[in-house]
Amino acid sequence: MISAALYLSRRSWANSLRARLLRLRQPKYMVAFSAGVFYLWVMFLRPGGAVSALSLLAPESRETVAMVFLTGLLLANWTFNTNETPFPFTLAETQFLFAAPLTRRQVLLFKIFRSQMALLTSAVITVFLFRRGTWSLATPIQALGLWLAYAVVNLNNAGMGLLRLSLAQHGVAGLRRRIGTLTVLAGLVGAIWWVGRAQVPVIGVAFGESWRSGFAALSQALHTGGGAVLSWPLRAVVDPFLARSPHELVTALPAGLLVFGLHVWWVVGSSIAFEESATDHAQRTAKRIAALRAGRGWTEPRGSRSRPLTSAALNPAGTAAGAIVWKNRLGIKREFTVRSLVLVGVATAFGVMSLRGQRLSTAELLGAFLLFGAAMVTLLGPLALRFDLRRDLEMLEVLKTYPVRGRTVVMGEIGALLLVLTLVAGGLTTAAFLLTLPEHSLPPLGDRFAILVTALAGIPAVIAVFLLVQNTSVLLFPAWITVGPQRAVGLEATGQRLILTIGSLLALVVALVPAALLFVLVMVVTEALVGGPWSVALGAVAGAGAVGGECWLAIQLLGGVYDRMDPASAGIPSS
Amino acid sequence: MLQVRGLTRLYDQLVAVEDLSFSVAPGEVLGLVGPNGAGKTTTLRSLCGVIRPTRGTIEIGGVDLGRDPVRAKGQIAFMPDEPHLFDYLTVEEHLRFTARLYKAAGAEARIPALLAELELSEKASALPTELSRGMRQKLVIACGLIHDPKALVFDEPLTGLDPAGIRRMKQTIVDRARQGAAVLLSSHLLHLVEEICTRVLILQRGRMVAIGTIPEILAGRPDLQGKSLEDIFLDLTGGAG
Repeated sequence: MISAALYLSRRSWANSLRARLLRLRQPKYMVAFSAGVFYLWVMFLRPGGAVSALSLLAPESRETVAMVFLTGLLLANWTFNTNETPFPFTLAETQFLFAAPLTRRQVLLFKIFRSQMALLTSAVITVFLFRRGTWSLATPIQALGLWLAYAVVNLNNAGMGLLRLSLAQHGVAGLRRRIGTLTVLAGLVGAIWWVGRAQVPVIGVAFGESWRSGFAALSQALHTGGGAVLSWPLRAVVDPFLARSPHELVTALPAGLLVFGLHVWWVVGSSIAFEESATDHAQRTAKRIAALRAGRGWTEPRGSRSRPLTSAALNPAGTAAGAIVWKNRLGIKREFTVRSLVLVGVATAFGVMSLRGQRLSTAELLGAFLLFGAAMVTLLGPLALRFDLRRDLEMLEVLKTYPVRGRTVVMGEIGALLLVLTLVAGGLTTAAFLLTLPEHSLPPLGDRFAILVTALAGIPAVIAVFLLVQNTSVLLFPAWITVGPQRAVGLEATGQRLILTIGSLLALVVALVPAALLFVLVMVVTEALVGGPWSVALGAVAGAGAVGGECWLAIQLLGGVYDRMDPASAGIPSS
Repeated sequence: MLQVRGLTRLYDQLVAVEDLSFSVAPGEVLGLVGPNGAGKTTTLRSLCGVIRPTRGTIEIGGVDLGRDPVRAKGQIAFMPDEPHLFDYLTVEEHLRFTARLYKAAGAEARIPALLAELELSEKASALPTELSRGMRQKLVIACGLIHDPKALVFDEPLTGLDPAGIRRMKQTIVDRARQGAAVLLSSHLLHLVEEICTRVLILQRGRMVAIGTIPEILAGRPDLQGKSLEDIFLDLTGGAG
């Protein structure tokens, strides 16, 4: 079993490396690879760069910090981890392993062993990067220690996942089946309570005095009496990572390996039927990866119980651009979840909290909330929502069969998001204006109206430029953004993202230059005639007009690019 | 209706299709067969305007696809083997969307009839994620038929269909041809080609090795007399496939 896992890991790694090296013969991948190497060097390997926070601590404090961090990680996993399966098998693994004449225990051992290879590689790379590429005796020691910590967290997560699965599968019977695990957990909770009831108040008081004394009290509690006994497994896991010499490692390793071994025994000893949930998870993951490779976000398919939101039916007669706008608008509506709304709300609330020092009336506070929301929709909406060519390019084979010119497709694709985001951001801005109408502490009403006009002119212009830049990137570099089976990963992908981000920012600046010049010109010319706020508003209207002209021109050009685009040459997967 | 002259498509140094010429008349069903990598899909994608030929011309209903792609594409429908649908449009919305893009006259009335013909009426408000593969395939066919195309191109039309669906699909193809559409059908299922195609085009390594009715092909190869299309195919393609 272990030899099979080794063979699979070795061949997968070698073939993947070979494929990546072969791909570097293409200039676009070579350029991206070079950019990726440069980024890595600047961020991690350049001499004199940042040092790790842990190395700044005194040696005796490192252990406490590492133990607290590990505890937090485990608790977070126990509390928030809602993974569908304790073992994330790939689709290929489910097809080959589950059908093979292997016991469940053998399958688990195979999976655990394969995971260790990946965790060890990850630990080596992490240590190498965070030691800024320097190699010494401490490098393999730290890598081994970090692997042990990764492995224990990973196995602990799997074990808790099995427990959850058992309870979900068998209900009360599951409690009986998992009696061993539950007894250990209950004992642990009881012991922590027993030790903690005396220690926690002391630590709390110490933290009230200062962070330093609080930390000292915590450290003492973890290293003396019952606290030392209870925290022993944590210490056993973190100590190999903190070892600084072979002697320290050899001393710390047996305890760490014992904790690791206990976890393996716990997980492998499980008799839970995890295959179904693992297969289900593998299929979902495969779809998720396919969606991400296609350059769009992943949303769970709606089940038959949740009917799609209804919308005004599309009249079969009308313009093609209108149809594409309707299609994408429908997509936005159906995939905009309550969670998205909550996230926007929370982010906006954080923004408004920066005003907590101000004395604002309720209407003013609400107005500020709406304006923050409008700003977020304007600036982040075009990046976060991808209902345009970023999403539809994976359907290029279908789109290209339609009797529609490229410029019409581009216009329709960009139009939907422009329309929706402008309506939302403009609506929020207008609502803020109306809400604060009676407020006398604000600037005069005429000035506020001028600001509203400025915003309403500026919002669609900014959104349009953002969308245009994003969609231009997709059309000019489809293989870098809408990626098929040959998707670049690793250093090339990092380099591609870096180049695209810089390119997008440059394009954004260039696109805004004519509009900004016109804005300033109109503002200066009209200031003497209509006064400050209105000259700004007129400048904004003129600037928005300039952006409109740019957009029209860009759509004509991009339409030509779309018409000449060949899915095969562009690196877009064919049907 | 479909006229292909000297179609050549290169992918860098690789010749996918070379100097391919053929035509499909109204009411005719031409079967396109060939081993894997013969250039069938490249031919179909070129015909539908998805990819541009390196050389050669394609006319659909007398309109040059290269010169006036919008008018040419308006007369053809392509049904790929893998149904690609918009995740967030329902079955009926797909039909409305397609009808609008093709400026399909009388689509409002045709939608219920098409849904009924392809047994999708009960799924009219379902999203593609709720459909089986066969149903998704039927939806692609329905979208292809909404504008009453003069030319139909099918790539492996029976993939994913159940026996009843296969029978209905074959009937749909034959019916459309009887109504005057030119049909080009690519499939590895030689019995399907033998059953419903009026002529056969055999491709190998991007080149046409035979075209015509089965008796016409046999006339040029008396040694294959009395053999099935499968035997003829394997012989002409050197047993590849």
